[in-house]
This record gives sequence, C-alpha cells and structure tokens, in this order.
Amino acid sequence: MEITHSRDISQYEPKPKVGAYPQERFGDERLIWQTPDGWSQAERSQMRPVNLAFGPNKEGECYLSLLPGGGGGVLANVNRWRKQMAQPEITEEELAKMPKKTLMGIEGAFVSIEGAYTSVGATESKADYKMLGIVAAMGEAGLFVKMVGPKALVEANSQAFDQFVTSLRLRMPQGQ
Amino acid sequence: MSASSKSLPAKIFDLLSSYGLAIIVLSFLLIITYFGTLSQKDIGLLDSQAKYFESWFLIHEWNLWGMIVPIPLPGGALLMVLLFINMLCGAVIRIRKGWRTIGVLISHIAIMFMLAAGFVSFIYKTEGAMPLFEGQASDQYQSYHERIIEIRQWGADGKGTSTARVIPMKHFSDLEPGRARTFFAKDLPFELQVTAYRRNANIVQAGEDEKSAIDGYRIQPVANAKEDEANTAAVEVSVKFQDGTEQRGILWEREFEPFTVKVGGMSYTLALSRMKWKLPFAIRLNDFQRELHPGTMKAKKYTSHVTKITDGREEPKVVTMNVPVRDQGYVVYQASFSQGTSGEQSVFTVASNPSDQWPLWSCVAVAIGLVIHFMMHLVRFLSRALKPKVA
Repeated sequence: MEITHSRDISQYEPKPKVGAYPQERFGDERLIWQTPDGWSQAERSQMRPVNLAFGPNKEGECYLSLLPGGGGGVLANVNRWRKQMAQPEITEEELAKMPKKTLMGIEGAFVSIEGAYTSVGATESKADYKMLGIVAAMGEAGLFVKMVGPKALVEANSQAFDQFVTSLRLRMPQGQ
Repeated sequence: MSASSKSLPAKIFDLLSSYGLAIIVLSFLLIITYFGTLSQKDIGLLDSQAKYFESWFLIHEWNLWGMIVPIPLPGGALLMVLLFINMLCGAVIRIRKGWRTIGVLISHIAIMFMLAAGFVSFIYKTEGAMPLFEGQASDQYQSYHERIIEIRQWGADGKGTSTARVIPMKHFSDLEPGRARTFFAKDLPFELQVTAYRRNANIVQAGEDEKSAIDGYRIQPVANAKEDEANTAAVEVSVKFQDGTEQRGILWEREFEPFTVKVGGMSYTLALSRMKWKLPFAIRLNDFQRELHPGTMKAKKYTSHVTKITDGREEPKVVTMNVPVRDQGYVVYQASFSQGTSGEQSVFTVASNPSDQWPLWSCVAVAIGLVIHFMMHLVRFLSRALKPKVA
C-alpha cells in the first residue's frame, strides 16, 4: 500500500533524538551491563533495576540495587548482609580493612561471606551458601551489587561476577 | 391510479416518502440512542459512538437476566441516511407547495441541513488537545484518538524534513498479530511492513529465550481502557531495505524517542503517535488562572491569558470556559489543566469543523419555520372565529 498522507512539522515541535538506543526509547533505566554467558535476566523490580539469575536451576542470583537513603551507610549494610548469612557483625575498623572493588566508578567494600543464608522474608535458612557483593556510597545513596547462591555455584561464577560488575555503567545522553 | 398499477420507481418513491418509513426510522433511532447511551458505561464513548451511531448495521448484545441475546439493528449512519431521503422525498418533493406549507417546508429543510451538518462534521472535523505550560507556545493540536505511524527523514547534518510521511490508523489498526501489511512511498529507500498492532500495550524486557523479542523487548498486551485516550498503542515494524536486509523495531505511543534506521547517509525516524494538525497561527500561554468552588477542588473557572501569533503579529486573547477563541475556521476552547513538576499546564481543545455553526443556523431555521406555520394556523383560526356568522 502506498503512503500518500503527510503532515507539516511545527517549528515548536521538539526535535526527537535520532539513533536512540532501545532503552532510551522505552524510558528504561539508563544502565548498561553485559549479562555473563550462562546467566539470564530475572524479573526486575524498583529495588532491583538489574536482576540476573544463574545456575542449572537458576538458584544463584545477582542484582544491582540503589537505595536513595543509603540504608544506614556502608557498615550497616555490610552487617545486614552478614546477618543474612548468620555471621557476626563487624566493626568500623574491620570494615576499613576489607578489600575494595570499584562499582560504576565508585570504590566500595567488597564482601565475601559464607554461611547459612536467609533471604528477606524467609523463615528458613539455606546451608552452605556464599554471598559476594560490593557496598558503595554515592553521596547519600547506597549502591549495591549482591550475588548469592550455593557456595560451589557462586565460586564457579566469581569471575562472571567481576565481569558483570566491570560492565555496569550509566548511559550518558548522546549529543544531538 | 391504483397502487398496483404504479411503476416500480413510483412504488419506491412512495415507500421512501411515506410516514410509515419515517415512524420506523425514528423508532429505531430512539432504540439505538437508548442502547448506545447505555453502552457508554461498558465500552466507552468512542467505541459506543462507532458501534451505534457511525455504523450501517450492528449487533446489540442484550443482557437478559444474565443471558446474552444478540439483536441485529440498523446502525445510526443507515438510519440518518434513510431519514434524510425520507424527508427529501416526503417533506420537500411530495409535499403540496404553497403558502400554507411554507413553514413546514422550511422546518424540514432545516432538519435535513442539520443531518448534512452531522455528515460534514463526521468527514471533515478534526479535534485535539493543545497542552501548554506558562510561557510555552505551539501552533499544532494533537488528536485524541487518531493514531498514525510517521516517518521523517534526517540528513547527516541533523536537519529533518519539514513534512513527515504519515500512515493513518485505518491502514494498520486491523493488523493484529499474524497479519501484516507492507507500505511504500516513492521517495523512501525502503518498504515498511507493519504487524502485531495492539490498541493498548506496555513494552517489557523480553526473556533471554523469547524469539519474538526485538532489541530485547516485546509488546505486552493490556486490556483496553474504557476511554480510548488512556490507551497506549504499540506495533511491530520491519524495515525492508533494497539490498534484501531488514531491521525490526517496536513502535510505542509512549516511547520517548523514535525508532531510527539509516540508509545511504540518511536517517529515518519511525514513530507511532497521535495525528497532529498545524494551525495557521500559534498560541502562547502567558498566564493560567483557576478559580475553585470554596472548600473544594472543583473548578469554578479556568482562564488562560494567551497571545495569538499570526505571521509575527501578536494579539492578546483570553480563553475561558465557554468563551473560546475563533480564527480562520479553528476554535480554541479551554478544556482542562494539569499540575506537574514543571508547573501548571493549561489544556486547550482545538477544533476545526466546516459545519461548526450549521446546527445553530438549522435550529434557528426550524424555529422560524414552525413560528410561520403556527402563526398561519393562528391567523386562520382567528379569522374564522372572528368572521361574522351568517344567520
């Protein structure tokens, strides 16, 4: 069928962006990352704008979250995670000695905890689990990447974790 | 001449000019008006209008104690055409012409004129919204219902053409998943295949193994909103280049930016949006005021102080409820307002309708015709009553 209709463009009409990425077009968040081989995307939520799953039965999860209020600071968050893994809390001094990793250009505390994992809202813990994560502070906000799953599975995917963290970045607006 | 000896055209004329046909048509108009009005609460105004008043035939689903009974009915378009013909044949051609029937003749012609006004309005009327923040100006209005796929060309210097190619909704709204149609234009270096139109949809991230995913996204159908303005349509397109390659994309009414393809140093943006019409003048909103009923959030009065700009000439105007601005066949009404993070936004309805004033003229003519008719009866009655009786 031939296209025969047309319309005049108003001088007041805002100019659209030519060559926009799909995420920009659909108002998706401006995050870019590479999903490691063998991983898949899981259902996202406001708390988990990037949510990935891995493992034969997708028992492992890895997600990025951003808390505008910071969730009490880096130490409070590290200790909250330790509590989830049934581990004792640490002090500021111990936090300062923890290894560091960069998350989206911000240096954060790298967490590696083994233990019995109790996820949020669960009543029973899962034994022999491992958690890897980075807790970073971005002004008042807290920026987190957390990976958790059966210990052997997490250890087998620790390189993929690093690859995912390295790939995470913000998409900058393109010039017109 | 007996009825049986009449020719077929004469019989048809008798039928078309008969009181019986008038009564049947008017009765059906009453019935569809009743059903059409009630159905608005279930299917919304737009769909109800299309089903009952803009159709030739329709099936009304009558809910009889929980059982759906389909009732075939003539549509509003058919009934109004029949009514026009009936009045033309019966009340204009067949009626005895003379001073005694002049009032009736005027009234019937005026009613036919009103039906013609409805037809002209149906064909030519455009209506849409022009929302403006204070300080903002625009010279176009956007349809409430008419979706389009529009294609614009952009040069390497980033300059776009002053017109956009437009595919009207009637050419793709029937393309449900599984149906496709290919569009072309002489000056386009590609063909566009359109499919999977959804009247109301979201765009969601597709799963890893979803074959229907396009750029990692897919269309998620959503139940149609009762009021069509709330629907956000989506459609899949496939741009087929002359070298045999193709590029697929999703177009969505609520997308922030259009879909882009590049051919031979030129870029083409494709977007699913609502039809926009350009005005021969621009409106700039200077100040918006709203007055509420005391103690409520219910608007008593909205007033927009605007500047009408025509070829650089500026004229201050005030648009308020029931007091529109009219110019060059366009009417700008105050419709509503919205409060957002960017401030107050005044929403105007802009309409262009060649038959805008016809119903008013028609009503005046009907009234004049009836006044003449009744005055003539009154005069005849009085002259008979006052005539001295002969003993």
